[in-house]
Amino acid sequence: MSLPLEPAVRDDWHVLCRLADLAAHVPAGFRLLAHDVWATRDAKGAVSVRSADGRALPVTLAYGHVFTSLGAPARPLFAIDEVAEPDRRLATCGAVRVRASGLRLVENFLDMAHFPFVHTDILGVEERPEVPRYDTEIRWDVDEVWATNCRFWQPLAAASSRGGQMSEYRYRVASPFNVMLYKTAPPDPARFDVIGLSIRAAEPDLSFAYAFLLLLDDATPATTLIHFQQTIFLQDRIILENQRPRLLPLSPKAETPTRADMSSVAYRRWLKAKGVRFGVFEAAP
Amino acid sequence: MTPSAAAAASPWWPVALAVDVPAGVAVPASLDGDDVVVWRTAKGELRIFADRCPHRGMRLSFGFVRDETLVCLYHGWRWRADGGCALIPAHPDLAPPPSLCVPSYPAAEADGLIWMAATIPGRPPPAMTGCTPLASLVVDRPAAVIAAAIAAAWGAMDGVCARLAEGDVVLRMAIQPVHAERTMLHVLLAEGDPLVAIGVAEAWRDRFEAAEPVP
Repeated sequence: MSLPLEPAVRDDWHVLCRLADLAAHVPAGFRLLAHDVWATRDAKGAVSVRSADGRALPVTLAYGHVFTSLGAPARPLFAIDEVAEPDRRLATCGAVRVRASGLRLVENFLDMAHFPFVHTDILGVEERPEVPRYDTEIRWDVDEVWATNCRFWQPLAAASSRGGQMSEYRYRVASPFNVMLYKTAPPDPARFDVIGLSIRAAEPDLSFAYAFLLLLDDATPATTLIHFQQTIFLQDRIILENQRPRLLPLSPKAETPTRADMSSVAYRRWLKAKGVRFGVFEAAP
Repeated sequence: MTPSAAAAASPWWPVALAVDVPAGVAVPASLDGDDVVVWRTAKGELRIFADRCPHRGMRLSFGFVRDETLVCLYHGWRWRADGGCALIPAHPDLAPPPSLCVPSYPAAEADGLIWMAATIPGRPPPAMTGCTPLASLVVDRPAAVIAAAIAAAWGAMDGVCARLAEGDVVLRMAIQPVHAERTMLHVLLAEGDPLVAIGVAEAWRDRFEAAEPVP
């Protein structure tokens, strides 16, 4: 039996799989928001997605992935303008299964303060753990959460790094289960690499994370780029599967944020205002 | 006596063998479904905290002990033995407010066992004088089933403790209800050869696992 889904989640776009994961004419089943859906790709590359009761669902192919919705999306899939730049490379990292709420995954993606402890000597060093003040805003006109002017010292910011750098980040939560960051590109510090993370929330406490990269780096082999991201994500998984509760609490008193958590505070406030419940921890009455 | 009746007789519950929690180490334990972290400072002070960092819910038993503090793996927040927060690394200049602390439980060590209580008890934990800790054995059965099996085989339990004599071996056991379907047997040797005693204890563990439900 399926729970009724709130409109903010039902009518949103959700990643289903990588386009390359679908073989022509072989229907593949996926769990999405506690529903079963089936995706099929034809010989020309077009993809159709159906719900278990045979309903045709909306489809958008973008960033190497298949996105769908269980409802009627009011707007197109989030746009990343950089995808049109001719010197960008797209790399997709595949699915990582995590026994946790997808909302916890997004929040971890927004978090800089864990770099020195979880990604030690890669995205941070214990000697430089400080998170300088940054700006957070809920942009109600586009219904997105942004964190800007983020800075963090990183010894090995990307697969293409040759030394440490003060990385500049901008984070963008485009929808509750779709998040991306813009980060100083080591080969061209005036421009930004884009790293996207789209979550397929299979169940409230079971998620599949699909990361994709839109990079300016044209020298590093794709395998190296993907291994770098997978190393990072497997380190995060140890954390994500051991946070309690597994679902994300939205009550301000449930956990104790500090100034470095301003983006997480904004994200939770925004989820609450939108009425998101899937993956949210609700205390017993 | 069921475990809940035993709780009325003694507020203390066993959660680990002392030898399994040396100085500078943190280990997870569960009592009736409540997850806790049992840890010792570098100097060896014993503490039992809720296994959840107040910041973002990370299990503190995945963290590590540095000097006299328990450090959360996620963001490196440091927790003192009194439960208060000593440091938030993301903001090294910020003094953590005194109200910021991890819930802790009364802890005691006696005769090689570590004991935990929900509230501050008025008396010490049960004595196992002269015993040597042997092992902690997991049984995937409710504590009430095991208590009934012990009572049927060995006579009434003394609170959460039992005594068994078999051949040349005399064992003491302390019973920890882990959660609804799992129990930990903390086994101590009172008399006899340790290797023989381990075999006896494991045979009893297997019998408990096959025990019939309490009617």
